[in-house]
Amino acid sequence: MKWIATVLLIFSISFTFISLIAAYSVYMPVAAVDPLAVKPEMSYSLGKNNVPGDQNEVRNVALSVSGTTVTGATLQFHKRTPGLYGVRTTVTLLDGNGNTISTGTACQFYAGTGTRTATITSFTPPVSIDSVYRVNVVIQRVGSC
Amino acid sequence: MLRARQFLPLFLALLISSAAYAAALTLTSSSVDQLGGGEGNVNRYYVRVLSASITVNSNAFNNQITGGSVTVASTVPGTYVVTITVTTNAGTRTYTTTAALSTTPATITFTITPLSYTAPGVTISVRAEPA
Repeated sequence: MKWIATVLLIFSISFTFISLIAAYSVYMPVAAVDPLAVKPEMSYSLGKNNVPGDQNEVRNVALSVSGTTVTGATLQFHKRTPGLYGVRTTVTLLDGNGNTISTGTACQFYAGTGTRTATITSFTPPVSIDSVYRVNVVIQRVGSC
Repeated sequence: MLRARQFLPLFLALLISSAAYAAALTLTSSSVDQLGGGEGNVNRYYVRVLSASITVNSNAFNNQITGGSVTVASTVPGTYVVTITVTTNAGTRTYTTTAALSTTPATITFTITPLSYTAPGVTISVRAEPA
């Protein structure tokens, strides 16, 4: 009977090591895993007009954020068509399905030609930058603001 | 008949193996919990493009886009392959670089083969994937 106890003892020790190996083998450090993309891409559309009396074009746009909330936008456009007239600037924020989730607008009169700046001071409704997948910037010549 | 002292090592071995297995499972479970909780805050990233700008070769209407810059951040700091795609009705240009991104926006300046800046405008897409 002593050999039975010896066999069981060897089995128990073996079981201990096998258990440890099996249990620890499922452990995977978080740092070893690449980040998972939720929103890996954003795009901006900058408008350029080609209608009589309005051939202006957007050159750049920058969103302002407070925390993660989009609070405003500053854009520059090239005013190619001379004269004093109003330019309405509309920045539309879209979600991943292409739906508009927020809009900001500014309107101002500009004279001459050259680079001009427009500032949008608020978006309605306020949205998080993490909800924004696409930013559309449109400028349009208008008769009045 | 086996005597009790013969089984003592066996009992100790079984006891130790059970305790070790339980401890290992506890550690693994806590790691899984951390992984699950961490995915929301650490492992899932959002790319934030806060600005987009183009440079053109002239102020003429039939001008061309020669490059630009974007300001990019990611909610998960790390090294990313950033691909910038510029598209107009005249075609598409792509610029790829590797950049260290974090929650603090970083400016990436790019140059492309000249691309006609046609109406109704240009689309600049910025995609970042872990390097």
